[in-house]
Amino acid sequence: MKIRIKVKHLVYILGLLTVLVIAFNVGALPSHKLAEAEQGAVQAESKEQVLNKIDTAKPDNKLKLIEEYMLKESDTVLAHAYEAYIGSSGSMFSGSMELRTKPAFSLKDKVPYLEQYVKDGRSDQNVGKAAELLAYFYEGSEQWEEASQILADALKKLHFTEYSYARQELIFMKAKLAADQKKYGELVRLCEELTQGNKNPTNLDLNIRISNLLAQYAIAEGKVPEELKRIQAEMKKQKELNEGDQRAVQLQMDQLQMIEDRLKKMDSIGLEGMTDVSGTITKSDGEPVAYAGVFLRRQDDLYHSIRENEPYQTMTNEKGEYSFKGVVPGSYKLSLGLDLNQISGWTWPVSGDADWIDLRGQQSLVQDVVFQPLMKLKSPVNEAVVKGKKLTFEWEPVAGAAYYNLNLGLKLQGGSSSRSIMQGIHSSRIEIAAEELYYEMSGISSSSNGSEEEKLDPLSLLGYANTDNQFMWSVEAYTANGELLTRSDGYRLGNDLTGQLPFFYLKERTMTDADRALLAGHMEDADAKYKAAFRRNPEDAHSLKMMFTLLEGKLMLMHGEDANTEAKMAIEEEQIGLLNQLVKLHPTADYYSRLADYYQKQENWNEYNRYYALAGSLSRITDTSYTDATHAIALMKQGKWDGAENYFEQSLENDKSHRFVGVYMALGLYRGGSLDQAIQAAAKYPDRMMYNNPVHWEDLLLEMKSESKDVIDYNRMLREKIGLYIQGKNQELLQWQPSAGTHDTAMKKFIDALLMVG
Amino acid sequence: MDQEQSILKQELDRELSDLKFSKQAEVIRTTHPTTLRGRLRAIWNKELELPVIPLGTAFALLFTAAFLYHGGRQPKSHPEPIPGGTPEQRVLIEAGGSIYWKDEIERRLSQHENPNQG
Repeated sequence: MKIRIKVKHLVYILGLLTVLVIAFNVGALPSHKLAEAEQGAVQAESKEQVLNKIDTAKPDNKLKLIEEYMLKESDTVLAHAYEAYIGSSGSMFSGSMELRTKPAFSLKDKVPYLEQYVKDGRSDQNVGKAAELLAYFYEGSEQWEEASQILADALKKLHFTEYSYARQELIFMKAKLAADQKKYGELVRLCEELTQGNKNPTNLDLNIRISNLLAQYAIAEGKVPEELKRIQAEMKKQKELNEGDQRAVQLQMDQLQMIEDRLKKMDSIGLEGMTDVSGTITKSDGEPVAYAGVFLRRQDDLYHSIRENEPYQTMTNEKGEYSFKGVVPGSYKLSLGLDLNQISGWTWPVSGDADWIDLRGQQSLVQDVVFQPLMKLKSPVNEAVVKGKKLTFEWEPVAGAAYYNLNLGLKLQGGSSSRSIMQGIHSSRIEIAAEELYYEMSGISSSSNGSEEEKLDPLSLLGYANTDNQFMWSVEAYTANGELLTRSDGYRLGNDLTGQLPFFYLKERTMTDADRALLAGHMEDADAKYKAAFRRNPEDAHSLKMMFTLLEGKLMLMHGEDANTEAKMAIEEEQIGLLNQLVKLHPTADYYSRLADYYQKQENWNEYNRYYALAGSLSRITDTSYTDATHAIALMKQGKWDGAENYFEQSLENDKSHRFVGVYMALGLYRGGSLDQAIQAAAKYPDRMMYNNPVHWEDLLLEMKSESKDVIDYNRMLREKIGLYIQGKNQELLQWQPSAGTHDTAMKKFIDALLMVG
Repeated sequence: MDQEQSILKQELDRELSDLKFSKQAEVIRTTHPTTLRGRLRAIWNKELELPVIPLGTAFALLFTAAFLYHGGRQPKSHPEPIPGGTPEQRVLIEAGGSIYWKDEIERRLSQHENPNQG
């Protein structure tokens, strides 16, 4: 077969094809470029390459390269220089991480380059940044001379008016170093220089930081009254200057107030000694956690994220060591600032209420931190579907662990919830009947979209009986004396840490029509269906439990209304009726405790004592510090003084939050104990319950002691008021107002604080 | 017979007597070009006879080769995460108490069977 074609037509066709090919290629070019760029990004320059590049560059270019590779992305403000912040009160991380194309240099790698930058660099705030980083480095290796020299060099470079902020930061760093070395003369001089320079406009934050440093000096040198005067003058000035952002000003005022309070307390108790706090941060394999941020945070600061003006902030050195010199007495906790690669796969075993650092004038205190590898889970993992009657939780045993605690959680509409379901497990494997989980009382949650009516989350109502929902679990390992060793949840970034994800489904049971209606959000319909099912089959414990849970939800939605409305009381009565039936079909510790609580409120001691004992016999939770305390209160109200005191003591030993210490002291006072004894108890068991508004029982009692001095029947009056508290006559106590000029205002404060405990 | 032919010839001549062929020169120029322009024009309008099968096969092979070469140079639409590297911007998420890279956990969980369909 042949075709006949003219030469010109052939040329036209070829021309057209050429045009098409070219057009296609031009259009495709950007994607090519993208692919090449991506390849380039992946092959990020190695450390050696960059250092070589800097070393061989011409002087002018060298500074630019140092700026680009070593200064641009580093931050000298420790409170936001790190990728993750970890403390016992929680963990924080920034949501997304920038693509890291440049190699990460440790501070030590950078030192010679930063030094050169400070020496040869232009007058620029980067010089200040470099000097500050170097000062942290020298501080860590206690090279004080070098530290102050580099700061002085940088200060010479920075223009007075143009870089006043950078200059202030450098002078402040100098003052901090002076305070660390306890060179108080220099500290005062530098602080004066800062205060002089800190005008038009005033940097309020800097004022707070200066006040914090000066407070340290005042205590060390016994100049508290003078410093108090200065702070009061400062506060007055701030009030007069009350312009601009009101909230910011208020925040600063609160901070100054805190410093004043602390100084006043020092002055009145006569605590003059300050403490040097130091320690080492390492991983359990011995690797130091180098150049990490270390924050010694005051109790009053723990409810918010780390602020720049908190007084005790430092950086670990190459060996992971840190130290704070001259820390003012008080209660503190450590927090750490870390890069993700320092914490991924590891955990700092701290738990919420433990690891308080109480400084009461001792010379020094060592607080080391050892990161432990995260625990490895075995089953059920990776969205496994459990269909059998039993769930087997299994994990890799931890060396040195005496027991494990198991937590179970479920997905909710907006997040997830989790709670401890079994404690004190002595092996690395535990079987739990699926049915037991169906009767767990998990927390009920609700949500509302803007102006919409608040709605209950059906996932939280149905709990583990939901065969469609995803569940999750975690485990913690403890030593024989109850110290947390390690846990399974933490930062898991990287392929080797995500092989066993703790998610599973439980499809042992079949959901009923009522369950489906509930999940669809038809609460009324579901309720009717559960009731009908229970009428048909009086053995149907699931429907009974769901009827109870729906009432619980109803109560929850009523939280805005008055606490003791009749409607609420009626629902509670109905719940107790259901619970009484439920414990006959499927008794659990939670149901019995719930009944015990109810009868405690009713002061029906026979029923209370019976249910309290039953709850204890079924409980799988070994940490009984909370129930011990509530039982102590119940015994106290029954007049069983010795028993109450025993249970309080047992609870206070195990409950690190010491939330019931107030009632314990009140009981002691009521039984004829002295204020001094109560003060001792308050000092031994400081109340850590409320972070943002902690009750300082010790201060309160000291105040009471001083007001009781000239009053003969002070103790009798106090006993009378505590007696009213024990009898539950709260209204009467709330209405009691000490008449003006009398000596019982501290007593009133004490009683008010007591009523808040419970 | 000759007479008949001669009559037909006369008739034809008479009928064609109005038509005069005057483009002899043009025709000669086209069939036997002497100028450059004429020669080029001849080549431009030359008719070729091309064999379809060998030529078609050659083109098909050429196109396939070009396509394969091109396809090989195109980036994959879902690049595999590079171990040890940090591809693009990554987001951290919290799930079940732990903190993961969002892309990594999504990839991991999609590997496992979706139990809702079971």
